[in-house]
Amino acid sequence: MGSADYYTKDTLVLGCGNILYGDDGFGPDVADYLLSNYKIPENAAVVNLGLSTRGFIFDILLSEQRPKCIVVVDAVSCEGKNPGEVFEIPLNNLCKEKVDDFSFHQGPTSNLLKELRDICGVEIVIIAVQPESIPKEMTRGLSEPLKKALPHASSVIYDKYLNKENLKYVNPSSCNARC
Amino acid sequence: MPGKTITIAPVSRIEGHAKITIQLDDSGNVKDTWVNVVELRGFEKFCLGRPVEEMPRIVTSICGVCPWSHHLAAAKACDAVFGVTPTPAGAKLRDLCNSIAFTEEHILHFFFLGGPDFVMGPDSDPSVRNVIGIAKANPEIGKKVVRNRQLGARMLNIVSGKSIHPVTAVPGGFSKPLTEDERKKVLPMAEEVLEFAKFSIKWAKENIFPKYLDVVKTLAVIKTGFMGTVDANGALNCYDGKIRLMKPDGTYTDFAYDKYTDYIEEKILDWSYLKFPYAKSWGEGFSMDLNNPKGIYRTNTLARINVAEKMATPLAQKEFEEFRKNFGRPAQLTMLYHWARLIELLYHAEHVVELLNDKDITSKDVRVKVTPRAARGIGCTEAPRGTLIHDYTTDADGLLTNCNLIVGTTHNNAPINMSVKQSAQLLIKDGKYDQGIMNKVEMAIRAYDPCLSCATHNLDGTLPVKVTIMDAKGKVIETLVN
Repeated sequence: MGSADYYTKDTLVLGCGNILYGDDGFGPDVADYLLSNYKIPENAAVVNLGLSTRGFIFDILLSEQRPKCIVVVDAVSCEGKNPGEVFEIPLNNLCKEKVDDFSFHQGPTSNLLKELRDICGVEIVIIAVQPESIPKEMTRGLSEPLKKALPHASSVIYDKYLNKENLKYVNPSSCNARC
Repeated sequence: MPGKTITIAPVSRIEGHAKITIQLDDSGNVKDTWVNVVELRGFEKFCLGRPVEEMPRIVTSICGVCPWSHHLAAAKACDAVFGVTPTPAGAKLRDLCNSIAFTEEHILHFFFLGGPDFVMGPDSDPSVRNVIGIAKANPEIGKKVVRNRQLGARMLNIVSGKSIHPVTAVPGGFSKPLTEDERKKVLPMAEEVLEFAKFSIKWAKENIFPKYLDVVKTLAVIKTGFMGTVDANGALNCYDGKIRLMKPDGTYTDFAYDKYTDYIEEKILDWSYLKFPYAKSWGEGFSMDLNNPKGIYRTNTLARINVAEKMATPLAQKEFEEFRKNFGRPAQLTMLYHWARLIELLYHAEHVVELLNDKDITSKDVRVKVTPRAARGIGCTEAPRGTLIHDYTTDADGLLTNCNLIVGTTHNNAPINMSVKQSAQLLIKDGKYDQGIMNKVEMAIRAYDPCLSCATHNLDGTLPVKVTIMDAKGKVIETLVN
């Protein structure tokens, strides 16, 4: 499937992050896990987007045909959460700095995501995991808490956003991501 | 406010990766500037001990902006390590993917990233100076931009199986041949992209460049040398060829890219994470003094157009001749990077069609076998942002013992710093400045299309800039945030 064809799907799950920076690879790993262990319905697509988010989101912004719902999976540090804890973050609850430093290494800015929601009417869901640590130097592989969280996060995403005919936004938990 | 410092820090998705600091003198005029970019750290260490054939796949995770360039430079470095030459079809399929990726990237930059400054105007309201503004003002163009970028992704998927995180270039060639059915499917897409490339440069020449010629002639202007890749006949080639290093006076030297260390050295300055490559072969050392720069050269679109004798495709050649007639050789005006980018877009669009009509392109002989050995191999391609060099050394088992990368943005580190300084000096007088001036300083950076360029264009209408003003002692006296 070409990336152009992703836009025709009702639901897109985007695994974002850099697999070469430890726990920042959680999003891509979730995408791979879903693709390997679940049957993705026809009206949805799961994409290991890694770092290639910029052009992808830009194109959706200007595309005439857009998905109804985009689920972004990424590692986001949130005060009060434990490493490996999976939670949803409302876009508006991201503080300014986190908004723009959303993914630790070149994930989609929530500015872009907000444009998608406010101008284009696309439902945006952010599924985050609390990282144990993001290494300063390149290191491959998730920490143990995040390895354990991988099946759980995949299950949550599948049950809520991929295993339903009519997708409906689920009210997120009341987490306010802090920097 | 004598002796104060202005810091412009992009508050963006790569927050912390770049900031501009402007030091004013006691009269409120610009004394000095610094552009800091944080580099990827630990890549070399990460790679050591890994089988070299894994590199083309690993390097696509370095950067999501131009993964194809890293993928192909790594594959070429592997070819050199193994001592093999890819088959003609293997090399042409790589070249094909490279040019398709170039069309995607150049369209993205001109219309989405650097373009809004010109399409909407450098002094226009920030709320419309973005891609949404372009789409609203020119809805048909917005649709065409997306359509043609989607075509690029579709073509890459058909040719290589994967446009995101590519894996198809392998040591010795390409991992899958292009079937005749696939070729027939891709060719009309390529022809459509070519039509858009023709439209883009015509539209920009009629509607954009004449309107902002004063900005082009004054903003970020510096005098440097240039570097880029040309083929044996001196024509632009972004996949393979020899490197041409041109002095500011237009004289040049050609060299094989595996000899790059004889010509280029990297300067380390204590205030920057990023190294400063310079032309050591000129024997004049390194200086970013605007009035007397030493060893400074530029890469990326304008550099490639300057070093080339000609373009290898007819329509791009026509545009090239007009450009050279208007601006000479070497053209030094920094804002001409945008114009040169559109000439390159046309070249790559033509080249894709040309390659798809090449009889070799559907050959099944796409790779040669490789055998591990102890060796050093250097691969080089032209990335959208400049000359990209991958330098690997392996032991007898083919495991990496050394790895060095020089990426496009790094080559332009010193020129970006110089262009920012020139712009700041031009625009900040007697301590007077405003957000509009700050945007123009950022435009100086965006012209080079560095990997951080996307960071300086938010879509919510705010200028993603935080200005911190400090006094001579470093005390913050004012912070401006949109």
